[in-house]
Amino acid sequence: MNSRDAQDVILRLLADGPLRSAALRGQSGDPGVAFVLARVDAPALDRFGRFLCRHYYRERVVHFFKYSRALAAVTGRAPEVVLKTPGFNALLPQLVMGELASARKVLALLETHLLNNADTLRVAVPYWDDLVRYQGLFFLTDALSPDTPAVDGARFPARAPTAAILELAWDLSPVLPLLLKPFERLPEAARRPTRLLFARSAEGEVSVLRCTDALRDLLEGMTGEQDPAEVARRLGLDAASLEKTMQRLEQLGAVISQGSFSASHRGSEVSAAAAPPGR
Amino acid sequence: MDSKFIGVGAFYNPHLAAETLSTGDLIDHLAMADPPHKDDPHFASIRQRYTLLLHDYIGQLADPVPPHAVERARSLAELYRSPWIAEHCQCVITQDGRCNVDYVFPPIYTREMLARYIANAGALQQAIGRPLVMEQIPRYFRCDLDEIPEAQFLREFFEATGAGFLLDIAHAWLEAHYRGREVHAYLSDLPLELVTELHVAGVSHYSDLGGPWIAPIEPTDELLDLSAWAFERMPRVRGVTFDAFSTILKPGVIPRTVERIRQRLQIPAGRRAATP
Repeated sequence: MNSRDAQDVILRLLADGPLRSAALRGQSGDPGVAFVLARVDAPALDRFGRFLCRHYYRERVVHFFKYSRALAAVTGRAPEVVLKTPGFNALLPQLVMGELASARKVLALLETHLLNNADTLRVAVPYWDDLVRYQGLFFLTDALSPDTPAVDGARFPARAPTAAILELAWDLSPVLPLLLKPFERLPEAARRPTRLLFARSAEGEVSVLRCTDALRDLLEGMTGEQDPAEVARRLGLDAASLEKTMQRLEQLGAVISQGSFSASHRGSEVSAAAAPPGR
Repeated sequence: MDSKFIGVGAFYNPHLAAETLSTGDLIDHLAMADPPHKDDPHFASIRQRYTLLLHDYIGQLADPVPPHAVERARSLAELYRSPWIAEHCQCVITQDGRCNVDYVFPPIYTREMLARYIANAGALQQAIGRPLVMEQIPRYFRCDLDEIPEAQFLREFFEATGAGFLLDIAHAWLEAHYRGREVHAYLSDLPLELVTELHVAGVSHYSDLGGPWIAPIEPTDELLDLSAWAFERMPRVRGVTFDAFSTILKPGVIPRTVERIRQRLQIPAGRRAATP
């Protein structure tokens, strides 16, 4: 094994809790892993792996659950507290940094912490459940691998697997920036059905935009098997704005025509929607 | 920064931008760990006011830096007018791109790795057209896969590439701590004469590690004294930076720490310090 490959084994041991746990029990089944593990301080490597994992999720919880953090004085439920609980400690050996299934496990803990026995809290913050769902989907979208092909052998642009639609009872978009500023009275949100599209770009940036019926229908029709122009025509959409919309959707990562890769994990919210084609 | 000027600065923390801009001539430069956010209302003023240093947004030198990352770095270096660009001596992403520990972590110190770092740094410097500095990274756990000491790896890298050394004093303290070495003896092995930039920060206790590690906090007096000891042995140093980049940083920390660094290293604000 060359040293670059040995470095990769160390990185996998640090990032992959199940692999590390199996290796420490002598059950990895990989001679390369056993070779490397025999040449490091294994208990210290395990401690560092746990440290990295907690750090990894703290960075993401702080970033993606920033609105819940801003409301912690009102709710008494700071989301990052979860990362110091016995529940998270028990989860650590099962977590793989960057893996969607691991993100789902962490999100389940977060949702339990933020939403269970929260009736009083819902009186204080009526849109609390929607806010948690909004942040949770942001958190999950960040964990989706952007290099997953939309459809094997797709002939046409297709909806990206990283593109997700969220239906909310409250219109959160206007209130979100207000939550991050000092306030005396809780900013109020309008109660009206709102549909949002979450997308992760090739650069790893997660964007959120309002999703009209037309945009939803267009995305759902984009299976990679049909020309988007044909889908638009079938849906009665305005062909003139289709090209512009497709370009914007591709930039945001909602639509892909070829594979992409990014190691970045930065996220942001885009308030201006890609101009959806009108009916 | 001209060749005789030693600037003292900090990292750009956008949530503290207004305070940073109000500190008069206390801060000479700001290191940029992240690109400016498109909605940052202060960045234009920050860019106009300070020397900006591109720090750690390039690519790991263990592997060839891909064209899109080179282009991104070149674009950011131009935006910042960065006198040099900085990258960590780290290897954090597997070759297949599937695994990323998303944190600083050093390479195994072998001849093969050294050759990779030299080749990739050379190509990067040629592509960007600006000097490169590389920051050393501590390792928490013992690793017997090394072929050469860290200090030799660094020295041979800098001599082969012409890159400068970015010495992080907290990293040095931690490496000495976890290798069981006396810190001045450890520092004496490093190529201090090749240091371009000095990072100063604190360390904190972490329960997962059962000991100290990197933290975005103020340096203790012990670490400031160690910084001063190393600073006196750096004839080529051009910048000293308080290395703290985090949303947990509170107002007051950056100006107070930059002032402490200036006092301890005897680099007055608004004047050019004598080169040691």
